Amino acid sequence: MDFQTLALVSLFSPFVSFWIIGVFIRKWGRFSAYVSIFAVFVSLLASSVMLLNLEHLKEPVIKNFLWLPAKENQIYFGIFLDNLSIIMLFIVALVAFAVQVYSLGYMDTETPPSLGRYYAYHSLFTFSMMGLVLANNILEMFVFWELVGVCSYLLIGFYYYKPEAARAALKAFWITKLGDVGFITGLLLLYFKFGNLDIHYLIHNPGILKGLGALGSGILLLIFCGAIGKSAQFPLHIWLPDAMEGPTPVSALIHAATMVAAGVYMVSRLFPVFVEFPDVMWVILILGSFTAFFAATMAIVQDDIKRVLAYSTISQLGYMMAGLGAGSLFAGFFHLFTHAYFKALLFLGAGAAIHAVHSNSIWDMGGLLKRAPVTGITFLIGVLALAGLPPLSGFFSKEEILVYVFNYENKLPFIFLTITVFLTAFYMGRAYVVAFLGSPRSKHAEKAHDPDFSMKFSLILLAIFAIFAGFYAKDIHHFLEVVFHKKGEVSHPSFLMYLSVGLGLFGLLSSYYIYSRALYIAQNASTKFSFIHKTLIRRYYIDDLFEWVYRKILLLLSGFAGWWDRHVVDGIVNWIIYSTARIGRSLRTIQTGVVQDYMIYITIGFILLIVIVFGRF
Amino acid sequence: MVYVGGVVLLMVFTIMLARESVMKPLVNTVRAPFVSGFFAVLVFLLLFLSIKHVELKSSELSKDYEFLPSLIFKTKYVLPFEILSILLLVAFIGAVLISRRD
Amino acid sequence: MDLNALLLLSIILFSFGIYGVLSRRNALGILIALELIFNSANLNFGIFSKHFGNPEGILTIIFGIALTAAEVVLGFAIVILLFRLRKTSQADEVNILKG
Repeated sequence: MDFQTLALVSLFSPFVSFWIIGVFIRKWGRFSAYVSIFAVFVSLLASSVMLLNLEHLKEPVIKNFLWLPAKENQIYFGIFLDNLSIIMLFIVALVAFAVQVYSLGYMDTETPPSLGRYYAYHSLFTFSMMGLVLANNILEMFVFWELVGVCSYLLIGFYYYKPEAARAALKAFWITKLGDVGFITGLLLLYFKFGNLDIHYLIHNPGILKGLGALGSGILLLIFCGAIGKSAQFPLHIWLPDAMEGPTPVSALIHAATMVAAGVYMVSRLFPVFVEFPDVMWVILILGSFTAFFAATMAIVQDDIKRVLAYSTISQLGYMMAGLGAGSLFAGFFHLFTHAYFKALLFLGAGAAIHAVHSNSIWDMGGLLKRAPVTGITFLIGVLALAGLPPLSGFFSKEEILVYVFNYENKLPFIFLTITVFLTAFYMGRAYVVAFLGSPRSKHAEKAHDPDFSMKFSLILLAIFAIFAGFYAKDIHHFLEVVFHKKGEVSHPSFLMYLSVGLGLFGLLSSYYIYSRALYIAQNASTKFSFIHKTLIRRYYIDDLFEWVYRKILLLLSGFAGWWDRHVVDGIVNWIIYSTARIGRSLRTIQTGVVQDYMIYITIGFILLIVIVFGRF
Repeated sequence: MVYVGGVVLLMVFTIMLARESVMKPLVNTVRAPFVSGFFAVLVFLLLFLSIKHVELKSSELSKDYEFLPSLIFKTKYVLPFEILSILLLVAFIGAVLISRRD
Repeated sequence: MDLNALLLLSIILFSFGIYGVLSRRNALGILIALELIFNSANLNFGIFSKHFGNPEGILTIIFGIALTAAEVVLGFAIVILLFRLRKTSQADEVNILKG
């Protein structure tokens, strides 16, 4: 089995599953689920084989076929298999597999046709995401980019009968679309300037864009806009918290591990090109670090456990972008790698808790650790990984990012990220203490228990990866060196390690203290600093800003359209009517009823006849 | 003969009825004599100008064709002649029908 | 005779006829003027028949006169009807087809 076949198997297995489920067997809910899970398992096997044999991949595998024939500048679609894409493929396959197995248990209350629809969407998503990863052409990547967005829309709005879910799905689609406008503009400019959108070509000739000077960095920035939208960077982050209206497994897969990581993946894929433009890198860095800080501040006041995790995701995505922007492909991408596992784990664990207490709010939970130990322990593992405590995976990746950001000449991003380390640990600790420790805070919480097998399986699977993924740092570093070789040395001051671990511990311990023993501190703070509290809860009023602008534009356009319709269109019609009536009225006066008048007309006609026929005098 | 009788009758009646006419023309609908005079003059000028430079060759109408109108009746114009007589009949009957008093 | 002079006669009659049709108030007066027009046309036929020596022209005159007679009869009948209905023989007072 060569790599190319494995990649195609991995890619098309969920695609086939999508068609089978979508067309034929949707009404048999559980059977569709098995088909889909089997398909993604096949993908997982294929990508694992590729991953384990990564040593033997000397040259990237490229396979193109002509997609858009033209006289010149044809567009080729194809797959681009190298270390980076294989690793990413594995991440997608693994998390997708875990989530689909988990959904068997979580979505057990769904009716069979609904369940079939769910798994059809899941299969489609897996296919689209893999297509995005394997794409060799920026246009091809954009096609899959949009497909993934569509799947996100479908899955967020899965409970389509809930108006909030429908709104959230639309909002997600719109906001990411806003970023995509930039993406496609950059793409078009690139095509018109070079006639070539081939990724492999671009990576090996990064200098060609430099020839355009400012336009080159403009193009890259525009393409990065797509990543801003998809990876929920400021200011296009507003869709992600609302996207939590979808089922929790969907949130785990799409809005934690894979789809939102597509933006990070895109930057990683084109990293050799981005590196040539320090100003673009600076934008990525400062935007990422600011987003990380910004989102973390909002996470500390959320009561809905999924929203806490959503803001956490935005924050961690900012971390990844910051790592990339600071110049290290390894730092950013490795954090994507570890984050996928522990964030998915956290979401699935949250899902188990929600399933147990029938509520999203952490204040309806409590004491779950004792009653649902598997959930509690795996969730704790996720929390510790996210907080960056060794020896869990999050520690390695977060520390790596901090190193590179620290080495950057401007220290502002570093300050943002450092504060965020504390905030991250604090909000996760708060969520954990309130939801899992202490005594049950509601009726349901008393009767909580561990979920059934399918959900437990995924939790444990992901927990294992969350623990051990960090130890593969060296290997991944080695593989990524082939993709992009970093020049120069960076200093690894050891105080950074102590700083991050120390802040993490401090965050956890302080949240533990406040929320289990000294709740009054939190309550006092929220009343004394009510202005800050309110601002944070209202998400800095940015959603309102977006809505206000949108409404203004919409009303402006519709007002104009209404005016045009009433005055111009109707005006023309009315004028025609009026003129016709007027002409008719005036013509009527010819009919006097007097015979002699008609005789005059006859005479006139006679004269005209003579004149015309016998024109010469 | 018929024709002369008809025209004479027409004139007699005109004179008879002319007495009854009330000399009260509706000015706004009757075109003043000037307008009709204008058109008449216009027509006259038109036709006059059109025949001004007309040069037509002539040929004599031979005398012994005096009887020939009656001969022509016996050639291709018999049918129109018969139809014409029917037409006159129809016209008279129609006139009588129209002006019946009931 | 000079052709043009004869044609001029015909044209003069025709013009008088037109004037009469357009300006007479009495319906019968209009009919008489109409007669004038018809006669001028028949005269025209006769002039040309003599000029070209074509006997068919005379035939046309005969037919024309016959037709004229028929038309006069019918016109007269219509005017009588009109007179009965409208109690007037003024052409300008009969304008119910107005508008």
